Amino acid sequence: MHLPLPYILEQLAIGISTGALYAVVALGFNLIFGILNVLNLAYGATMMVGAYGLLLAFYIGIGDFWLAAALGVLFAVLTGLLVERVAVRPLRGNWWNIKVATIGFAMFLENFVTRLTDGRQQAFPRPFEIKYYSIMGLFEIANIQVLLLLFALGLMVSMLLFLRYTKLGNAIRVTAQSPEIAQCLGIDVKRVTIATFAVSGILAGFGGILNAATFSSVYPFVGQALGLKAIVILIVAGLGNTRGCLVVGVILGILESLAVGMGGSTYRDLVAYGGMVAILILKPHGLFGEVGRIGRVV
Amino acid sequence: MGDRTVLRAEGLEVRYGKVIAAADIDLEVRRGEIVTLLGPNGAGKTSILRAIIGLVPPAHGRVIFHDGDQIYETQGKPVHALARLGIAAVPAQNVVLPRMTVGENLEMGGRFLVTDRAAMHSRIEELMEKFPVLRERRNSYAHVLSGGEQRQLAIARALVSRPRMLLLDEPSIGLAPLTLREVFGMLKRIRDEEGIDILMVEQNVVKALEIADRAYVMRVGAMDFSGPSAEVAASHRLRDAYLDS
Amino acid sequence: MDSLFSDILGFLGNVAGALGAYYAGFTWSFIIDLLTDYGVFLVICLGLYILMIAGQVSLGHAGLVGIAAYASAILVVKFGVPFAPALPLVIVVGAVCGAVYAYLLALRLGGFYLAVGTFALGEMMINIWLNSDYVGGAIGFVEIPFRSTSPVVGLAVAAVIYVVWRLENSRYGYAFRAIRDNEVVAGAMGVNVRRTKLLVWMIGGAIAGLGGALDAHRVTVLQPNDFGIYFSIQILLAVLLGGLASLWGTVFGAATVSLLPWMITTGDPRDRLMIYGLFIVALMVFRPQGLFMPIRGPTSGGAILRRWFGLDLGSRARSLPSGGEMAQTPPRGPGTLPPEGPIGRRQQ
Repeated sequence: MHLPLPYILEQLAIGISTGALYAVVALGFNLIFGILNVLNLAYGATMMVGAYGLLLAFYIGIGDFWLAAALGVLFAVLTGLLVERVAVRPLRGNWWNIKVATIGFAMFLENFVTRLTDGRQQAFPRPFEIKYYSIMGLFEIANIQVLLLLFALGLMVSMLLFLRYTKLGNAIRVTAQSPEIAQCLGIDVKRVTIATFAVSGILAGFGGILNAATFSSVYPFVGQALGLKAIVILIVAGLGNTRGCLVVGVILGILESLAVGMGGSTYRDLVAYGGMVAILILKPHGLFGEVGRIGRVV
Repeated sequence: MGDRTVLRAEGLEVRYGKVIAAADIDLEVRRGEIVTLLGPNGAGKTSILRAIIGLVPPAHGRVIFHDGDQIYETQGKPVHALARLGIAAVPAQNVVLPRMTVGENLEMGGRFLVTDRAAMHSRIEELMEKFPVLRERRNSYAHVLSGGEQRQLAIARALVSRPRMLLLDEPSIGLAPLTLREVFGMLKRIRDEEGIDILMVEQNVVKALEIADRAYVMRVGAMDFSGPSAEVAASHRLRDAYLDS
Repeated sequence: MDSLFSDILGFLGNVAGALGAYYAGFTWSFIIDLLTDYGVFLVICLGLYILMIAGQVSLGHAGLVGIAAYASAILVVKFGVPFAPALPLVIVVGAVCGAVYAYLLALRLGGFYLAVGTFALGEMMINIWLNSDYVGGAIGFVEIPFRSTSPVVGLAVAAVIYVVWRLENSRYGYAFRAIRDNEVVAGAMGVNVRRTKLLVWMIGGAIAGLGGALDAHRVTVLQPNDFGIYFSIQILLAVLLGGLASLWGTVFGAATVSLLPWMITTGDPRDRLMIYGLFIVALMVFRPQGLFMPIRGPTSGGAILRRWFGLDLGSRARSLPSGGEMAQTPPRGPGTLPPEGPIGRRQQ
């Protein structure tokens, strides 16, 4: 297969920005996993709520994209808090039950939204006009891809700063390593957990909106595919590893993009899942190693 | 019970499901004391300590802290509330935050309890004087420290917030004899220099009785006897408690 | 015990539902059709059940079933093999696939990673089928002859129930449960963990094979997405509902999952899924050990009576809640020493 260089570069560029999107999604997911050691499988649905929240804002007359986005993010945060209250807290850290319960919650959300909106794919507005820039005369990238990349980088940096320098961020880091010690140090673990879900909800909301904006469309089950990709990224990178998320996310985006470019779009998911299975077999603790409680047996 | 009482537990009972780990436990810590809770394995002493700390809600009984004129009943309250009252607890295992450096661990000791950052930092420096090994390893990650060093780190971390009282669960675990001497000497110094009261559950009877003022001995989930440590050490009941259960 | 009570209630509910449906105008043949569908589903669920007993979490079980379904379809349609000999072949295929799953994942990984890994394998399979025109791609594999008539399914159900029942009450059954509780201890007790895991995966795979074949020749059209996460969740839900104490729990659980939708008056499938979702959440919160069966201890009649009279000792561990959360019990009278030494767990 001899592909022209510009084509490869273009695929690469698409891959990087898609990867950035994946990384954004994975970061939020990672936050909850890192602190609670539980999988919140309703995360994808939370993202979807964020996107639909924006649509709702448009529906009631808010015309500005970013204002509507704020409303969407608000919805996502509320959803995240609801998930915590209903499907996580009562289950007391039992990761298996929480996993199942959050799946159930996601099912409920997705079908609920389907009911409300008739379930078909809906058009999603873009934040600005799509313009293409020509890179060195070889290929073109769209401004929205640049936005994605910048946003993901910005998000990762903010996350790292947040975790390192704010009181809540430090509380999260401490709780992730030992809830018992955290309590002894004066941290209200329950409130920190709730706050984590809220922050993760913000990330989910943005992730959902960015995703919908990139593809110009949204449907109720969009969260599933993305959520699953997030899990793949997390496992390949190593559960709880923030930096790994970005790297692996981008790698995944690139690999997928190349696979699609060479073989056609139906092979896209194979990359993700095949990669994950390979990692599970070869290096189950992830490429970059897990970050979290030492001695935890998973 | 005088106005020198700092901590009092009345009728504490701890259950795990249907199993009663300890019942009807009374104990008291007075100002300036080091009190140790002794007993063979399975006597329930760690359960009682955990109930006092708040990690386990007691099935029955009260836990009361005195702070000058204030009286706080804390059974069933969340652990962090106790921390805010100035009671620092150090668990028996997994005592440090593994993925943070020694310096960060110490900071975390005060981050959530102390508002004056500058004071906190000078306090940390002060503590590193007292625990020189921590100064050496300041930038190492906590999980590479030896058991003894980790224990010292945990105790130092607990002291950052200038607590009124220290609750220690088996501070001697995993410590080599030399380190044992250091750590226990340290505890005594802390009490002497800073006036912090200490309640500790201990397996190492000899060492504990060396520095404690009073001791309680538990057996099979109940309080067997108590008294000043010299008496307890000399008492044959101590041997009975350990050998007969 | 209220579990037995709700067990009876549930069963009566199903029966009443079936009767009610009859009186509402359903014909007998329709009910038989329903029950046959249920039978196929039950076979599939029992395959997962035997895996879960051994602690093998298979989140992509639908994928395993799908492999068998496609295999059966290929054998019968593309190679012209008649159904009767094709069936055992497919069962063998299922067992082999189970073994593959075991070698790839189950023998190396536990719990969470295993669950996610099996899920990934399932999704990969779907992807392969979508891309493969040989099996009809996204359009699906059509025109599969209908062979899973009620007597055939009934026979299969009886056979599988018998096999699973014998298995779970045998030495192997105990070995499986031991592995579920604690692999290391099981090994120390003399269970060859590796071989037993392989065995349970082969059996689970074989049963899934049977289920898949029955399914293929009942719905006559196979689409890759039919074997995705939703189907896996339904199978999982059926097993969870029933609890893991005994296969009869799964019998009731599968009945609830497959027959209950027909009892709900709103026919809209999306509503049904919505309610499912809420139901799953509620189940996990209030009764994670399953709706129908108690999960602790053996479930023969004698054992249940013994438990009622408080003569049982020990319990099978299910997923334990994280440390620090204790059940509150009413306060005892003051001043009395506990009768025997505490055997409380040390909380670390």
